[in-house]
Amino acid sequence: MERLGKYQICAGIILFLIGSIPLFVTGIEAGRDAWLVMLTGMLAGLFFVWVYLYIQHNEPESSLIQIIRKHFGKYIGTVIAILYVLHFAYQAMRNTRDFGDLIVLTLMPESPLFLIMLIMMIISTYAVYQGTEVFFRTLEILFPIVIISFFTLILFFFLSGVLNFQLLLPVLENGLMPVLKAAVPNVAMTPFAQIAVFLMFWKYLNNKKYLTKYTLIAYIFTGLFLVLYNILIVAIIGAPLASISTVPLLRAVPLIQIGGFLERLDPIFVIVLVLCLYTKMTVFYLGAVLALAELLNKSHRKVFLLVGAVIYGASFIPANYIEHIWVGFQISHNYDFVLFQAVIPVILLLIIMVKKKSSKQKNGLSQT
Amino acid sequence: MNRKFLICVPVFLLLFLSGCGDIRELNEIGIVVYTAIDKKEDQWLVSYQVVNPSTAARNSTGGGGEGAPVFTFTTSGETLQQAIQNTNLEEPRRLFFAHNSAVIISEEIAREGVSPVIDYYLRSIEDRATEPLFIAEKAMDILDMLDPSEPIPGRLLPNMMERGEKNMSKYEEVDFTDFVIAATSESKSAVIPQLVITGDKEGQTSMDALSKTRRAGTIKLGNLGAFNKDKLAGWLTPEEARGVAWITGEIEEIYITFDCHGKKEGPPQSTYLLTDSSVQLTPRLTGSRIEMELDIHTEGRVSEVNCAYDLSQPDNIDKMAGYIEERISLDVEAAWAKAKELNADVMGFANEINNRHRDKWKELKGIPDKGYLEQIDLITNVNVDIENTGINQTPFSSLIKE
Repeated sequence: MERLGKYQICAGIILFLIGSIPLFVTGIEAGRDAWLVMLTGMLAGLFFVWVYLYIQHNEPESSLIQIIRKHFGKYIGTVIAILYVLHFAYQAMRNTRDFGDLIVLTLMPESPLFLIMLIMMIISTYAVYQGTEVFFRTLEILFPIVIISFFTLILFFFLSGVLNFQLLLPVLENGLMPVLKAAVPNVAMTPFAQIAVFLMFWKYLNNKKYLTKYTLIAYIFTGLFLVLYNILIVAIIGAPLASISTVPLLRAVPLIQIGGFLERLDPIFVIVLVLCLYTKMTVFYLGAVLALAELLNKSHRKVFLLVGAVIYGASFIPANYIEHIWVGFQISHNYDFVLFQAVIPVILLLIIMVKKKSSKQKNGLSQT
Repeated sequence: MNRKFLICVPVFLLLFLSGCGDIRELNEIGIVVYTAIDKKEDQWLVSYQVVNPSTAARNSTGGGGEGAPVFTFTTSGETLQQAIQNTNLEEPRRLFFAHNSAVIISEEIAREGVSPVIDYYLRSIEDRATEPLFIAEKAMDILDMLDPSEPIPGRLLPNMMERGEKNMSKYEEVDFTDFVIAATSESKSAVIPQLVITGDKEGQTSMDALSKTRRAGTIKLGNLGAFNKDKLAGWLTPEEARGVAWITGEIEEIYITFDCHGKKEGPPQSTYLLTDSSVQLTPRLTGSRIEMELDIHTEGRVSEVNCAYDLSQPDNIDKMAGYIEERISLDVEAAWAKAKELNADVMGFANEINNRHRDKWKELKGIPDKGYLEQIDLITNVNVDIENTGINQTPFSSLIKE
C-alpha cells in the first residue's frame, strides 16, 4: 500500500488550492472588496472541510468511492461513484483547457493548442502512471519553487512601489451583502471546497492523527495567501481593470520595474502558473483514475490511459476560451460544484451520523 | 515497456520543447521604439520609429554610422489593428512590440476620446501596455526628431520622464494602467503629459542633426492634458500642473522661485530647493458645502539669493518662508481654478470625499458635469521650513553694496 507523509499532503493541498487562482481575481464581482470575498469564502469553506474530515475520520482507511458504496448501498452507490469519476475527469479537463488557452494567449500565440495540451497531458499521465506516492513526492519538490517564486513576486511588488493601498478604499462601500453574495456559494465552492477530491488521497496518509492538523494548516495558509493575492492585485491595477482583464496577474507583473534593470519578470509568473495548474489538473486526473480503478476493482495502471484520453478529448469541446470560462462560472459553479462538493458529502455525513446514533442506541439498549 | 517509454521521452522533448515553434530571428524583426497614433478623416494613422539595426550597432560602439540609427514610417487603416497590419505592405521586417517605450497620441484623438487606443493596447498580446503615454499636436512629428544625446532614442522619453518626476515633480509618468485607474475612479478624471517640439523641427530630422553641437529643435514636455473620462478637456500649464501635484502629494524635489521682498510683479530673484514635503488633504462637511483642507509642510534650503538680505537674522528667514508659502498657495489656487473651469477633477477630490463621507458622495455623484466641484471650498495651509541657506549665509551682493 502506498503511503504519504504529512508534509506531502500539506504541500499537495496548498499547491492544489492555489491551482488556477493566478488566472483570475476570484470575487472581483464585489469590486475592491474582492479580498473580503476571499476571506468570507475561506471561512464558509471551513464548514465543508469539516464535513470531509468528519467523513474521512469515520473511515480513515477508505477512499471516497468505498465510503459512498458502503453507505449508499450497492446500486445507488455505484451510480454516485461513476458520477464522481466523471466529475473529477471534468475538473481535470477544465484545468487542461485553462492551461492550454492561457499559454497560447500569453506566451506562445503561434503554437497550436492541441500540442500544448498534449505536452501537459503526457507529463500528467506519467505522474499518474507512477502513482500517488511518486506524484506527491514530486509536489513536495515543486512546493518550495512555487512558494519562493510567489514571495519573490510579492517582494518585488513592494520594492517597485506599484502598490497603492488607497485603491482598496473605501472598504465595504455598498455594505456587506455584495461580498456575501459573491462569496457564498461561489468562492466557498471554488477553490476552497474543491479540497473534496482529497477524500481520494487522505487514506494514504501514514499517520492519521496528523490528518486534521495538517489539512487545516494547509487550508488556512492557502486561504490567507489568496486573500493577500487579492489585496495585491487590486492595489496594483485597481478593481475596474482587474475585472476586465483575462489574466490580471499578467497585467500586474510587467509593472515591476526596479532600478531600470529588474524588469520583465514574466518567467516567474509562468513558473507559478504552470506548476500550480499542473498540480491541480493532475490531482483531479489521478482522483478520477483511482476512483475508476476502485470501481472496476483493477489496478490504476490498467485504466489511466483511458481516463487520460477522455480528458484530453473532452478538453477540445469548448469552442473558445470565452465559452469555456462562461460554462465554468455560470454552470459548473451553480450545479456541478454544489452537487459534488456540498449536497452529496452533506447527505453522506447525515447518513453516517444517523447510523452512528442508531448503532449507539442499539448498543445502549442491548446493555440494559 | 518502461525502457522504451524512457527512450521516447527525450526524442519527444527534442522535437517539441526546443521552442522553435514561434521562432523569430533577430535579423527578421524590426524593433519598435515609439508608436504614434494620429487620425485623418476616419482613418487611423499609425507611425512607428524602428531601430535600424546596422547603423544602430555602429553608433553604440562609437564609430559614426552611415544613415540614421532609426527610421520611421506611417501606415493607415480603418481600425487600429488594420493600420498596424498594413505595415506588412511596406516593412519587410516583422515588427516587434515588446520594447516599445512610448505611445504618443494626437490631440485630435485625445479630444474625441482615447478609449479605442487604450482598449487596443490592453487587449494586445504582444504589447505589454507598460509604456508611458503622451499627447502631441501631431503625434508622428515627434518620431522624426533625432537627438544627439541619445543616438538610440528609445530611452529618451522614459529618461526625460524619470528626471522630470524626480527633479521637477510636475509630471508623473502615466502608463495605461495609471490612466485606467484614474479614469475609472470616482473622480473619472486622468492626466497625460503633452510633448511639444520647440525650435526648428526640420533641422532635427536628418543625420546632420547628430553632428551639430546646438540642437536646432528639441522635444520638450509641455502642458499637462486634463481628461474628463476618456476625453481631453483642456490643458494645465506647468504652473497649474505643479499645483495639482501639490494637492495630490506627488511633489518630491522641486525648485521654487520667489522674490525676496515678496513682490508679486517682476521676475523672482531667489530660489528655494525643496527636499522633503508632506501633504495632507482632509475633506470636511460644513452644512451643504464641503471644505477641503490642504496642509502642506515642506523642508528645504535656499539655494539662490540675488538681493541684499541679511540671512543671518532668523526674522528674515521667517519672512522669506512666508513669501515661499505665498508662491505655493498661488500654484495651488491656479490649479484649482483651472480644474473647475475644465470640469476635470484631476486632483481626485471625489475619491477623498467617497472615502471619508460616503453618504455625502452618493448625493453629489448625481450632479451632472462634475457639478460637485462647485460645492467644494479649498483651504490651503502651507508651512515652509528653511533648514539652511546653503554653505553661505549673507548674499554676495550685499558685500559689494555701498
